[in-house]
Amino acid sequence: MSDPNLQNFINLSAALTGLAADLLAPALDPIKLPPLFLATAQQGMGTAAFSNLLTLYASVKDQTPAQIASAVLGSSDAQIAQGARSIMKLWLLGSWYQPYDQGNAHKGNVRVVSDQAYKESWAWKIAQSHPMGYSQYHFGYWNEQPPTLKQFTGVDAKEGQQP
Amino acid sequence: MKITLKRLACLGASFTSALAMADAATPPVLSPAIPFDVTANSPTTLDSLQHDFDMLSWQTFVALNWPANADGSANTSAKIGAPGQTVWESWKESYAIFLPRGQKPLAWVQHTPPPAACQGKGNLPVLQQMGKVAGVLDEFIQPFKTGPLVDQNGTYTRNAIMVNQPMFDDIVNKGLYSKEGQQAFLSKADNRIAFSCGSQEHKEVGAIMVKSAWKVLGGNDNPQEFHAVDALVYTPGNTDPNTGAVIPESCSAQKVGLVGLHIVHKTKEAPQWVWSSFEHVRNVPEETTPMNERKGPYLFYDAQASNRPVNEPPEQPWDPSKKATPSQIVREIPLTAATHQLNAQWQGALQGTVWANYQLISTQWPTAPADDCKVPSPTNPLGTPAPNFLANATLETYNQGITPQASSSCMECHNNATTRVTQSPRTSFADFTFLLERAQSTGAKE
Repeated sequence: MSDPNLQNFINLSAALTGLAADLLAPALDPIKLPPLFLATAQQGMGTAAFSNLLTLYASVKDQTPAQIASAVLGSSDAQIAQGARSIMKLWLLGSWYQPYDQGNAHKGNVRVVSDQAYKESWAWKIAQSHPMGYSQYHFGYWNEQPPTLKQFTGVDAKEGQQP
Repeated sequence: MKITLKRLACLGASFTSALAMADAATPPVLSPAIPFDVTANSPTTLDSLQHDFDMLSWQTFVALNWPANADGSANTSAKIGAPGQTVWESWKESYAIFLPRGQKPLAWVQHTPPPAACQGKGNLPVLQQMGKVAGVLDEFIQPFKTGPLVDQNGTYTRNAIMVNQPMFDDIVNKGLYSKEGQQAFLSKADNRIAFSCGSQEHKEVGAIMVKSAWKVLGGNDNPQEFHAVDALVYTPGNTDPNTGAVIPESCSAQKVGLVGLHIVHKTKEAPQWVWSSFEHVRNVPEETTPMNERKGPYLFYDAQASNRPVNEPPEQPWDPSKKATPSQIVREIPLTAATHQLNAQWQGALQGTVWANYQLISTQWPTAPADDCKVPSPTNPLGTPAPNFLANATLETYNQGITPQASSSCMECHNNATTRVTQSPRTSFADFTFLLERAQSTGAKE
């Protein structure tokens, strides 16, 4: 990936969501959500706050994902922390939750970024399910056990959870 | 270096223009050999693989449109463009496979009689020219009954679906041509519908389907601009006014010209099949083509009536026996610059043949194919197609666009195809073909 900002944004997103960067941004990606999400976050947070977020990430990127997430979400800069939470929701729900007033957007405004963003959002896969109104599973799938969480996300279910 | 798509996906390598430069320098090779699978060269990206699949499409287009011997094999002593039946036209039409009362189809080499209304009609020499399979075109309604396509002469466009021998053999050998046969096959717990996969390793051609769209040639049409054949154009009768126009069954011999061609090939690297879509170059303008550049004449657009609404199906009832208002169609998703460039190369190589009058619209392929070409991925059976959407203006005329689940995407649509045994995902999945839904019941008690 030639754009370092985009690569940092994806790696930061991986640390925040717990999903592997190559799942968020596959090498072969005809849907192209990552650049759309970067533009969405940059616009929603404002260029300066978004740049501060990526700068903070760059300073901690060699740490573990948990340490990165802690540094970003616990940042003393409220815009960084709130923006990071909105980025998590963006990947999980395909919607941008405006974290604070910025330009014409007001805190609490929510918008679905695109039809593809909704369809591909990760909450559905983490729920081992599919978006309402869209499914690629074959007729009768609802009567069978869904694939495991690991098959969907690469992440093992915790003990006691649905596999 | 040949490498698998699964490995390619891991490489994430940057694209270089070396491959494109090599293509520009080397004219395309016109060969009667159907490629077994995509040949991908590293370094790879989405764009480079799209190019590789587009190359596969053109290579397959040339091979399938090669003149055929009497047995349907490619006549390697002839050149493409020579008169006569092409390879794919010797294949089995769907009506010859899914017979009334679930009867077993005749053997591959045997001629299937046309519908009764066509028997004794038409011109016998014309039927002979069509070879083993009569050119019966009995489909005029598009997917989801979105409506027929009417040419500038006011005549309905007709469709046909053919399958190659590996697919035909799979259907016959597994008894999938009848409802009861499907039930018997799928009653075994390990069985699933999985057509054969083309393979470089085994030098095998996989299952191939060809869906064609034809216009009746008349008016100012010049047959020399088309791949033109004499065919029996069949219209089923309808006596129930609640189900459409009341029309008599009819069948007549007509000269028809090819205007659209889907070639669908299942391969090891593309378990969701490779969807290659071609059209006649004069079909329609693109939506983005400025009005003053829409010179035409087009086959499905009147440049002199540019104020008419576009991409709207004819008013019902649809009656193919009568002249209708010509369709006013534009292409909603324009061809890419890369596709234009590749088309120019192949059309140049085909110069002097009628096939230079056809163009690739695009090729849809899976970017995340399943590991096993015979077993769908549990979490991504669709395989994340590229491009996201693909429509042929003659075959998916009225559902072009970019809206998920509504606009035409070959793989998304055909992923919903089912068998006649919808008891579970395993038994219902028809491996991306709606043909198996045509299987009729033998009437045997279950």
